[in-house]
Amino acid sequence: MKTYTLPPYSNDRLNRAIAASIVLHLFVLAAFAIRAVFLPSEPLIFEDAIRVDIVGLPDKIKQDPLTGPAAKPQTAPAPAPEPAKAAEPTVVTKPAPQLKAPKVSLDKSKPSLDKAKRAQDAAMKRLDAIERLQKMASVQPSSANTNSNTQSVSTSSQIKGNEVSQGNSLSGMQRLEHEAYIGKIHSSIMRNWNVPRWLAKANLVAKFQIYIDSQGYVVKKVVVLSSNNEIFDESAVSAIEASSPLPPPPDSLVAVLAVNGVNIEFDPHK
Amino acid sequence: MQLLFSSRPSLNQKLAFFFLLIFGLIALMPISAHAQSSSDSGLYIKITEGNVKRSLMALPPFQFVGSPKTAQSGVRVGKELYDVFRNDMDVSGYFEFIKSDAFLEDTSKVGLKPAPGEPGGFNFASWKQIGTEFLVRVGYRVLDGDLVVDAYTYYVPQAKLVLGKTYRAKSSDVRTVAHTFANDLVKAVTGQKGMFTTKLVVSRSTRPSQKEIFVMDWDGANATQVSNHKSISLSPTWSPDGKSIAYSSFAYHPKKKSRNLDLFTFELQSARRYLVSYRTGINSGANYCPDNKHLLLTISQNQNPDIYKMSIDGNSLTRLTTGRNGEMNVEPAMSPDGSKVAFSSTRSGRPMIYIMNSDGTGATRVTFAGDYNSTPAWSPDGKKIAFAAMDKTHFDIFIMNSDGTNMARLTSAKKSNGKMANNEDPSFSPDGRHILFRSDRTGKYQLYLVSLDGENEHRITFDQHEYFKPRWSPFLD
Repeated sequence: MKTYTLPPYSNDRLNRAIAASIVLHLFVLAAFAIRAVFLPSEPLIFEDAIRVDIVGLPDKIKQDPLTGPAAKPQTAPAPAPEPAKAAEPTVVTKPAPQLKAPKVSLDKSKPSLDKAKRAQDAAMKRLDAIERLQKMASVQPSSANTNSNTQSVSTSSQIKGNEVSQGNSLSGMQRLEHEAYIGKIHSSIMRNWNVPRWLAKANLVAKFQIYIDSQGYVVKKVVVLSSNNEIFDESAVSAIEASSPLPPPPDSLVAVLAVNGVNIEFDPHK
Repeated sequence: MQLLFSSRPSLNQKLAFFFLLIFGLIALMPISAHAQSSSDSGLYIKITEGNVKRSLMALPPFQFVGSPKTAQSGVRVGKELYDVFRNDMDVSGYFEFIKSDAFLEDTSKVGLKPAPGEPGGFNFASWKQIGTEFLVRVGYRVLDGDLVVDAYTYYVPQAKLVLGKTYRAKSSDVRTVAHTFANDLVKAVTGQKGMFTTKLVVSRSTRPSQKEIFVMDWDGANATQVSNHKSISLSPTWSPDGKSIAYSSFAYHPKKKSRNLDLFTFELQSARRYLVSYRTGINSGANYCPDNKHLLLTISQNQNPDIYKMSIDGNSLTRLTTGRNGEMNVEPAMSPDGSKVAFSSTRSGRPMIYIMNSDGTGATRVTFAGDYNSTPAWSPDGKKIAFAAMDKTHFDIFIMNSDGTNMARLTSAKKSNGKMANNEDPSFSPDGRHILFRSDRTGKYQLYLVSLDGENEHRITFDQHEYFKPRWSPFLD
């Protein structure tokens, strides 16, 4: 009988395949690591869900417009970027690598991992510094503007939840800061706006674009839409001027407020 | 590629490499847009309410500029002119007055027009300094029994003349002059029509057991009796053009030798009176329809008091409600656009406010609280209804949207004995800014008005009569 011997199995192809696979895996890993270091995305908030009940508030209760929904960014001592600690109920305010990378420790990869870790530490330090500055800024008391010689006649019911906000594509901490600050601008201007009664029902609307610097000062006012009534426009301008300086804006808003500004519409309707 | 693969790459390998490259690029893209995203929504804040406040008005005494011979009578007329005008401005709710001891200028020594244009004129700066917004300068004289009034109203922050007008009328018509000036000022400042030349119609006690119908100025002056049945007359109402009133009176029927509550109409100018409905029982609670050809009223000839629509001559009659078993449907009030009728009905057991279509269909209940809800009154824009509701021991005036939502209480007063007073029979002013009602807080039912937010109550009558079912006239000019 003739024995048929297979040609000796060549490991060459297998080795080539393994090498290619490893290289491509590393390529993908490097791609994500680079993204995590240089383009930090929104940190995940690992917090309990907040329960919100919408209830109708009764009439004639005057809400104090001084306090808006001020959310202070919580800080937790940042542990080393360990992906397995996802279940910890603390707010992690530093960029954590998004993927649960397998603990592959290869000699080849060590230098790149170290580099990534160093870059992350630097980013963490930067964020800590910013937080500290924010904390200092938010301790400043918001000045109560008491216009004691005017009586605030508030007849419209102050039911929250009646108006749908514009919405934006922010999320998480940034969104909370953003909305808190917008609320502060709104309540400050509303508090300072005095309308003579004979103009209150005149169906007048005025729109302004205001630019706020990093200290909270209103540096520029632009009339977008005049009500064609000098006195009404003046009352709106006075309200804006009396509100300046506003509290300093959060970091995420500084650029937007200085460059794009905020559009304020004055439209008294009851 | 030669470095990666020891041999020339096959098609599969090329594809694999290509896809992994694409995947790597995708991995580098950020998952969500951040910091720049706030610009795509555009930061936007809408301020919908501010602090509404009255404007400061300086109203120095009016200046007599006539001849010294007419001074004595002239000054008396001028004082009445001033008092009536000042009261109008106060009740309008737009102004509050600066105290005269704060004035920096003695207005009797300067002219009615500003310096430097006018020699010896007043100084804007001295008024600006005390925060004046509106300055009213009036000079008057009596000429051949006529009153001539020069009135100048200035908006001080802009040193602008808002209204400059001269009025001339018989001295006896001084109140009308003041009211006309007040209307003109309100129109010039707010663009809205003023209500100061409107009137009220009301049933007033004359003798202990008698009530007659009276017409008076909105501020209670010039009360004129327009009925003389020597009986009980009540539930008066205005026609839409303000030229006639309708009312009910217990008139004597000689054939039946008894009294019946009949419906009359009365033309104010010609003083002609018409007996419109004398069906057996009640013919009362009249309310004109906006077309001025029909009116709604309660008739009880078929046992049940029900609401009917009747032509003004009393002939054509359409039944709108059909109550049974003693159910009462009373006090109809037609909406200003003529599409709906509000009324009070006991069909649920207690009197409650209902709204039905003007043909009687689709009656829906709109009040559910309180023990006794009655006398609904529509606002001139048809958006709100005021009514009187019994709150355990006393009546108060309430206001709500015409669909029954957003109810608010407008009155709450105590009598001198500590008990809660009754506030009843609401009626809107034609400009929709005030509600007329009657209250027994002083012991007798007197007339009052209140602004729509419940603030600024103002007493209208100051006498010992009792008043019932007042109604505010439409605009009369």
